[in-house]
Amino acid sequence: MRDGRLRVVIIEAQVLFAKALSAIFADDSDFEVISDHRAPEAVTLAAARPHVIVIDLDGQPTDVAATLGICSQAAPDGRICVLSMHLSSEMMQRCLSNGAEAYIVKDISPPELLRAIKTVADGQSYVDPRVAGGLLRRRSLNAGKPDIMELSAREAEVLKLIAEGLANKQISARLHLSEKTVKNHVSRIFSKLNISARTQAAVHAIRAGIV
Amino acid sequence: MQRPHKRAHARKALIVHGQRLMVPFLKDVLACAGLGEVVTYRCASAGTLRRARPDVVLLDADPRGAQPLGLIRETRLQTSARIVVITRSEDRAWEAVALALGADAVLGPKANRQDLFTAVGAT
Repeated sequence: MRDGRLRVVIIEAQVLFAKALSAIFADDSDFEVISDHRAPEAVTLAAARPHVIVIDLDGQPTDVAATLGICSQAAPDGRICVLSMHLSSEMMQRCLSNGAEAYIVKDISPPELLRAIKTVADGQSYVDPRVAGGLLRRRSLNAGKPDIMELSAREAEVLKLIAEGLANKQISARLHLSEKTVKNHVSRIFSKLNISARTQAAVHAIRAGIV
Repeated sequence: MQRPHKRAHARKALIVHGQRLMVPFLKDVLACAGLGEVVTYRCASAGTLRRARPDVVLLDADPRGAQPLGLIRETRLQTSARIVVITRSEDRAWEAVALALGADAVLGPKANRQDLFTAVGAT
């Protein structure tokens, strides 16, 4: 249970939008915007000790796992709320799999945003109802089967290269990673997809349309 | 007998947006810049532009599903108003094309409140 106001950090690449978000939170005395940043920075996030991190993914690099990973590692107690313009259940799944507690599409109204953030701060999750349906449908179709969307962006990248027939050493050179890191990614991919061979991984990648 | 002063034309802005969260802030800045506002969503039809007769069109170039350069071109074809584009793109080539298609100002991700104030031609 928290005492006092909700400490919010805003991560927004567009200065005008950051100011717009700050103004929305400033209108509600339950919130205190600690700072706003153009990109996630581990040191400032750790120092801010936010209850909530509001991050607009649209202006951030495409590696969702890495971007959200910085937030969750720097501020492990901070609840991550993703803002996005994409009404996409795949993108939402990717965010939730990588530590986000909320997926909020940016065409909601300011009062709806505040309600969503309070819900998340109270320990629940929030997803835009328009994309939640797609997620539930896919979950129900895939019931009991491993879901490729559980993979992080980096793991999906590694899977794609496995499907192209590359060995770990070649993947490590291609992605500028150590061979050990690639091995770790491969182990996690196998575990998440419940498989034991690279050919099975390739089949998953082809079925999912990532190659 | 003194004739009554003709009422000054109130400058008006049309906000074309795809991110509703941004609208209250934009309205606030526009009000400070001496502009009344009309808000529309995602694209401005010819009818909307005709009815609103804006002096400034504030165009958010990042709404989902929209083709921002096409939107700028269409808007320019329909109005002689000042067109100010807000975008998260830092691509100078994109900016040049936007200006060539009819935008009067392009505000990139680093643009701040003062830049917006200046771009809309605050009175």
